[in-house]
Amino acid sequence: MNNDTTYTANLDPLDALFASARLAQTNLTNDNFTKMLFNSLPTLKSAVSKNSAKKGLSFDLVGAVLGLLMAYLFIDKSSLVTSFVGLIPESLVISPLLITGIVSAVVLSSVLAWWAVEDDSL
Amino acid sequence: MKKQDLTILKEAQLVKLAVSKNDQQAFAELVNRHQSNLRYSLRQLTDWNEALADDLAQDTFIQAFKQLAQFRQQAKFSSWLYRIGYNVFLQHVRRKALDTQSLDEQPLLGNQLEQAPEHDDESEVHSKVAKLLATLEPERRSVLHLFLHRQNTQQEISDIMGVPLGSVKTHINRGRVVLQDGLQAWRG
Repeated sequence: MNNDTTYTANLDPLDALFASARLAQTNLTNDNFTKMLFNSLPTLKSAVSKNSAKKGLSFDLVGAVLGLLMAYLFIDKSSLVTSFVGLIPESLVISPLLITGIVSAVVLSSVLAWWAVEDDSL
Repeated sequence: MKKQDLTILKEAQLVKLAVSKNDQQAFAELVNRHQSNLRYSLRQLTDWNEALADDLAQDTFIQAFKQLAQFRQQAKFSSWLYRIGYNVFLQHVRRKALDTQSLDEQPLLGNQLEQAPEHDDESEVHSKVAKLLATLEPERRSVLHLFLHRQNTQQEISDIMGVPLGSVKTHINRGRVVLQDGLQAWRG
């Protein structure tokens, strides 16, 4: 008689039955199980992305509402309009330096966008 | 990261990889580590219906994947996973109850789950335990499984299932009596 059988023989019949089941439990092979599970993971990935997108959108909306409320309460509307009008230049001179600046900004933002997509961490 | 590297990582690290990098290999490693125990527990809860238990286990892992970001690192992953599995099982029982009621207007009892397939000698002890557990209502069944098979403490069971400690104690005391009666009846 080995230790396991001695152990179960000293137990209440119910505990002995469960102990036998526990001792007889072997690892279930997972070949088809994992395969079937991972067949549905691509849809899961999109479901998770959708959930994150929904969360992001709701935070954006809350932020926008709060921002508008603060602006309405604290900013003088007439001076805001005149300030905006004042920002518009009366004339625009297209110089080589300006073109270089615009092209650099476009290239830099494209590289940043590519990096954000490839890195997948943002 | 190579697959071999994942096997030495702790569960918290695997969860972090799966969440932050959407790393399916990390999640696969978690599945590999826990699928056997979860499927076994679900077989015990479903009267050793292997096909049904595996379907519920699939649903459990899908839910777990969706909720992975909510996993608290202090908790045991196996306990967290079991709780999801138990909730998936309960949903199945409730759905089944509604189906049964719509067919014959009878509520579902704890022992009215689908019949288990034929068993060979090796799985006889497992199916015997599952048959006994099937005489209990679902919550009590899970409590007794965790207590008698998994050997969790009453407090652990309360934490895992989200059931008050007093209810766990009642389930254990009353469940044991029912199971002992069932066992005696079998022995004649």
